[in-house]
Amino acid sequence: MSFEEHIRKNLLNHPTEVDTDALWDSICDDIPNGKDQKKRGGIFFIFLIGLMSLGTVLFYPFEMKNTQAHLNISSGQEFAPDGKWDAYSLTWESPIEKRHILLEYQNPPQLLHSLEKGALITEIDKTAAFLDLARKHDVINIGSFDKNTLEKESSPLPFKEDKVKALESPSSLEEAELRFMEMIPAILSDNTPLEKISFNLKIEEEEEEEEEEEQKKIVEKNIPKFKFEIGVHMGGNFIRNSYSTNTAGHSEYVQRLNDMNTNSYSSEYLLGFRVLHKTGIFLQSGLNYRKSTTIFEYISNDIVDIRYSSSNNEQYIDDDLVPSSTKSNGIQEQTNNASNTSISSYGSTIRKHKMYTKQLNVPLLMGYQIGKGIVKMELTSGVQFGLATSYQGKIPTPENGLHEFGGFMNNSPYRNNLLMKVQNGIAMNLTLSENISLNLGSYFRFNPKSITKEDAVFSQKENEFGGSLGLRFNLK
Amino acid sequence: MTESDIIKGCQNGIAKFQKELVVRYSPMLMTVSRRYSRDNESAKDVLQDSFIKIFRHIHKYKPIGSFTAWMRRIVINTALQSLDKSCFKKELSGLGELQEHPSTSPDIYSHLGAEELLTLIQGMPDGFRQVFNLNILEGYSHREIGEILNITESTSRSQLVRARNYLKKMLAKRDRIRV
Repeated sequence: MSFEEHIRKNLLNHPTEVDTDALWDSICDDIPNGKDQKKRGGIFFIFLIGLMSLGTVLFYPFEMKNTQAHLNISSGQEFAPDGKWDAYSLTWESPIEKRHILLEYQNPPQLLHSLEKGALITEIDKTAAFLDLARKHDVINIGSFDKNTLEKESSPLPFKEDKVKALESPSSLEEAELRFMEMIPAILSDNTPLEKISFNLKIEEEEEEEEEEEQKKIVEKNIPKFKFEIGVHMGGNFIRNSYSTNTAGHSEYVQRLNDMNTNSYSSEYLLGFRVLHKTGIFLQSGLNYRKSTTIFEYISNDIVDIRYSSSNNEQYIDDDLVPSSTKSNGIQEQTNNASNTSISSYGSTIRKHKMYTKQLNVPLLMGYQIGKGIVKMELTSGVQFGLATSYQGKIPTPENGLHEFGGFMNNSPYRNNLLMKVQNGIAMNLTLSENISLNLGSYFRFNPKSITKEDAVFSQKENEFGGSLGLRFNLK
Repeated sequence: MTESDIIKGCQNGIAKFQKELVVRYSPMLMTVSRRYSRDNESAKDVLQDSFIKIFRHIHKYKPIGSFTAWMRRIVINTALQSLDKSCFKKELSGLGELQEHPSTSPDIYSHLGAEELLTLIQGMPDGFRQVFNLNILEGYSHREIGEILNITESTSRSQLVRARNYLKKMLAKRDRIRV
């Protein structure tokens, strides 16, 4: 081994004992560390915010004078265990304006293109570009900070409590801004650890929104607490009746009634009123006149002999023998003689009897009106009390006969004159003018309890589905 | 703590990682610094300046090459920058000594340890020492050494011959004393 090889072998990996603590002490003040980077970032942040605040003050020189301001600080989102919270907002407002600053970060950072390219040289250039970008996009990137420049004890909120307290209730907007600027370093130092944080300063102009809100408030103020309306409605219902027996031995009869009566209908007219609270809750009542037709329709099973007689070329029909409607069963017999020609036909007769009932009803409904525009929706629920004022017609009896009754306030043989129904409905209200609206609705009514009389052999339930069309007039 | 952790930590300016880098690599880098310096005090100064440079420029380090080599290069550059450039001019005189002495017997140097070798190297004139280190220990060619030290290639060659002769003379002297 040559001398030079001997040197290489001995020296290339030879460690020399070094007092590393002393060495560290001698250099630690001269090397860059996180604090310096943070400080620089903080200074830049303050510089930018300061410029923004100055611009704001200059832009609104008169409005800001002698106004009391209040600074609100709120955390945008809760701190998540993975160290991600998106944004927090700072709002300061005065009686004449409200400015909202949203601080948010992105991870990984998405620096603005111009910054990435390094096209901006001086801080003034950058600031000018920021402001320009802010005008265009409402977003300013205010810098990028390394994780380690921000790394400290994780805090669930971006601000420590004492910092927040210091910012509460400043005496003026200027003071609020000053305090805010003082707080910026605290924002950075109290931040949560992340690989890279890029702070964006987003300015949202809320004046227009505020104006709209103010107008809404004025409109809402002008809305009276209660609104009184009267309405005229008309409608029609389809009724499904069901009968049940009250006493033993009449099940066949009740079955016949159920078979006979499938379709009923009614028409009704309502003069009503409504009290509408500004919350949308309303009470509705009125007087409803209703005329219902209950139809009993059945096949009589009679063999009908219809005679058509022609005499002297005259043809006549025996009216007494002609039922309301006749179905031919196809059996026909023709008899001819010298002077008369008679045709006898045998068939079944469908008999139809009607029962007319007139009622006065008082609905008591509670509802909720949804919407504040031209078209509103209403949901109603309540009861309707009724008084049958008149019956007119025939009803089949258990003995296959017909019981005819009628007259004003005449008692029905099978039901009381007083009745009650539960009603649920939905309606649409279309505003036609300031004081008139059109109401189109549908509802479902049913008897919670069967209608009957003490000595009646059956009881009855009416379930009905109806629709109504009406006009409402605003009184106040 | 891996080397990449330390690098990343230092790139982010975290003191803990910076200190770890100093503790872990300063013994090796100190040897490099000593080889290029007249004495240990100068070597300490060079090492100190080197670390400051390392930390200030560590964000530029790209993990393509060896991190140790990158730091060694910084230490060497720092040491060379602290060198008085006139040392080469001074030593240009005496061209008659360019004849290389015959090779030295291993018996004379085989017993020498690292510290003794370092003392020998530190005792060399500055110009000899820089060229000797760059050529023999770092493996640079004379053209590269010329570029690094801003001297001609022939100057680098002559400095190396002289450095070798100087070392042989010193070894012979030590051998005589030892005997």
